[in-house]
Amino acid sequence: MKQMLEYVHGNSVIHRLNPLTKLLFAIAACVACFVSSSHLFLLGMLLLTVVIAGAGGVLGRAAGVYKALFILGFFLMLFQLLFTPQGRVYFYILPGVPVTDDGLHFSTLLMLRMMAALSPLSLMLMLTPMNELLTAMTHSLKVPYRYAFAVVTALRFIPAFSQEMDQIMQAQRSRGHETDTRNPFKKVRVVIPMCIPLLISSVRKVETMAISLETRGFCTGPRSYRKKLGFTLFDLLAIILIMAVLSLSVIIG
Amino acid sequence: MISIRNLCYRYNKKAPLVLDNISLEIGRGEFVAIIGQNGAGKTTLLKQLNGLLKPTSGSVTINGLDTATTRTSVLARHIGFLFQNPDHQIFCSTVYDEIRFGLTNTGCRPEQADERIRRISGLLGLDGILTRNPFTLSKGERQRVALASVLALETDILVLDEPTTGQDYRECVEIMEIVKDLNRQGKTIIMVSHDMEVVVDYCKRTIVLHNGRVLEDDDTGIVLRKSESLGLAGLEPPQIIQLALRFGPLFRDVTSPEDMARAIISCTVTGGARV
Repeated sequence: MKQMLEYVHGNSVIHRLNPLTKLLFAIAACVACFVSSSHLFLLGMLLLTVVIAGAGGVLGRAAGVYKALFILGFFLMLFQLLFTPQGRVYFYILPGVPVTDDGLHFSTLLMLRMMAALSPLSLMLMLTPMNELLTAMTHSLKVPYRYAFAVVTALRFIPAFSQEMDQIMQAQRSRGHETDTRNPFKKVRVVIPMCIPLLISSVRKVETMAISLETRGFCTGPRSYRKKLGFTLFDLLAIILIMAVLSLSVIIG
Repeated sequence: MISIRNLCYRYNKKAPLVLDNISLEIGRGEFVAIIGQNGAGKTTLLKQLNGLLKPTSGSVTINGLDTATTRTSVLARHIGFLFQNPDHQIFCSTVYDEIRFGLTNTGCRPEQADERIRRISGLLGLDGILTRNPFTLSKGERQRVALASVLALETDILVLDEPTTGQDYRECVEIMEIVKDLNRQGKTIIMVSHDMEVVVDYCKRTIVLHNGRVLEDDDTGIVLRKSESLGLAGLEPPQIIQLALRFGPLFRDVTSPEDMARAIISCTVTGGARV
């Protein structure tokens, strides 16, 4: 989770694109994946994200994302496959549970769609510095700073929380608490000693942060921006590419 | 009791060594301080002791148990561990339940657990607040609740990661006196501290870590006189030793105000004065 959303420092072409372009790409890619119902198109989208990850120098990190999405998608596919009785029956996996051609078609489509629609979002977060995203949202998109700040802060806190969770798990294990059990009934009992400290410490942290923000004049007047975000030729090319992808998704259907 | 042999550790394959070929023997009943700069590897070394981190190479053995193959929850019966931040472990709705949590985990009988909780809470001045919710307590009190929950396990070894942070001077002395008492009863104490005054007052042996290596390991009185090593590790001797160092070789055994007074008296007597 931590690795899927964290910014990776770099100076590639993708890094230097306007954050708005990247945001547009993430949204457009998502829309395109839901518009199109072609395996080939979705596979192409997935390939495109691999190319972008390569260009941004985060291929290793992206591989982790693909793996996580694949596991999630695989289970989705499995359920979809088992609960689609329509179509021509290939064989029965269990008595009364057929595997059909429709099932196979839709389940693979679902899995590909999920992978192709979500990976651009994670790539966008990996390749865009948070404060640039914030500037783009408030300065160019005119999102009220208060709300943009809330969104960006939530994303920024995820690594901090996951670190906090590690510490909490270690503290409880030191007190003889077994954190690894396979029994689902015991799982609830195992999780409570870890969730409560996390919850309490996050509330404390947020409270402290709110006060420290106010003492530094949060949202008291018009803001100034250190960095001007301009559009370059690469942005133009990227936007043309995005439009092409969107149109293609509609044409292919 | 604790035996560390050629311990090396890195957080992942590409990262540099955090612990670099550390070998230590710590016997029963010792009172050891581990000091060094932030990032020297102190907390990492402590976490090796109860198996929260496993050696990259080398070995750590606690009471004959190899930490590489023993689960932390099993090691918890031998080694009590107090973390820097009490809020990482507190989750129960009463102080009583919080102290009891570890006892239930290690399979302590109910009546025995009850007796231990009363004794420990009395010791730490928590007996008046056993029914309070720990989240409403002050930071100092929460730290003592966390300490109580570790002490209740009655392990032979106690590992304390900066137990006196967030405490005022009086609370700090109270906690250290309790720890000293436990040491007198035969428990092995290993603590990390940034407070050189605490180290010189309580710990008999001091280990200086620098960049993951053991820079010094000897009696506290000797180690804290090595200004060069301490300087390298970004530390300063405590005031009493700084003063003794300025007075010269006759004051080489001074580690406390009492020693200082005695040394001054003997100097003036040998100098011809009458006391």
